Amino acid sequence: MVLKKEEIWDRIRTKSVWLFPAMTPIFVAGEEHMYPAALGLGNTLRDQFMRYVTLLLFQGDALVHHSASIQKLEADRVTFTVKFSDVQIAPAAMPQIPNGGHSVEDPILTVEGSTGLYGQVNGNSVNLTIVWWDDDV
Amino acid sequence: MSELLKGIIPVEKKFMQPNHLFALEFREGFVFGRVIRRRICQWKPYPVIDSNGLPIAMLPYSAQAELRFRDPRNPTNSILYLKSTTGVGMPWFYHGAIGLKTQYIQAYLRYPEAAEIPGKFANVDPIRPAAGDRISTLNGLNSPYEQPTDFHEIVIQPTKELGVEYFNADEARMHRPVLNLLFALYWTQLFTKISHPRLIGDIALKRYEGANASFLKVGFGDQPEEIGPETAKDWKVNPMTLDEASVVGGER
Repeated sequence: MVLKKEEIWDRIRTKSVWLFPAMTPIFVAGEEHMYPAALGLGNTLRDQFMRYVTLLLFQGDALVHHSASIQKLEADRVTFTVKFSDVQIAPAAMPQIPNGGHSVEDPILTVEGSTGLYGQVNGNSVNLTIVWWDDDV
Repeated sequence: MSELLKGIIPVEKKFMQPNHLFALEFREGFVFGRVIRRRICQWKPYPVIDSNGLPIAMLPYSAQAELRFRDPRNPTNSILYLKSTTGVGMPWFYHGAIGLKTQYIQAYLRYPEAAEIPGKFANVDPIRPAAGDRISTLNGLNSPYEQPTDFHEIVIQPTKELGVEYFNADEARMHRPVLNLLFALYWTQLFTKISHPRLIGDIALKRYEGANASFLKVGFGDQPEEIGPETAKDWKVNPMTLDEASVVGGER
């Protein structure tokens, strides 16, 4: 099914998460369209959905330089695949992916059912704002 | 409109013009006639209200019990209700569709109120609005707010109420359903075996291009709704099967 841009607008979700040196889930079990924690299926998306990530915005902490990576937890719920590695975040910078124009119709990353998305930084912690929408709501 | 909707068309393309022929299907059979005059009626935006006239706010992933389409200025009135069987002496009925937003709102029509929901697969259990069953639900994709479609085409006979239940499929946010009620109200002339036998036969047999009539079904169930004795009497018609209608005009 092809959605119009206006239909996607209704579905936009935005959230802010802190990424730490340990692998940090960006979408957490029990959240909207995620498997409940009680099922023990990890921080993964329910099978009937597809999640389209359209923007990643990293925020420097105004103190030190960080680098970050975004990794996908594959459907085996064990393997991580690096999607964006070594993203450089200067103390006063706010790097974003995609770098430049942001379009809700042009995803930069997809998260399928039974997969998840994680982030990791070196150093202390970095705030990430993420924008996405789900199909088949 | 999305590609999925091929074969489902905007309802205004199906509205009849004056002098247009139609065959209205009831449980007892078909009633044949033509449109004498019509009035396009639209209520847009129509925020869904409860019996007190207050807009409903649907909590995330929750259901709303059946509601009529009430006039927010006077909630004792139903918008899509015809109190009398005839208008200015002529049989009348509503024909139209409902567009809605946002996409997370699923609507389950019931006609007459509390009766069957449209779109059930023949071999499955009844649709459960309270559980948010996603079986042929009316939503903003298959009947967009800006352009209601015939995904669920609605015909309302006099003295019958249309009801609807709602489900908010959004797991995170509250929503307020907003509708576009787009209907045509037709004043009609109905044909009887005595007054127009040949024309009834022509419509039933589709004998020539001019006898192409709109076929409209009253109700959403496997069988159409009953016309009822009062309406049949006031409309002065005896519904008949297509086979009966085919032979009314005799051979040509």
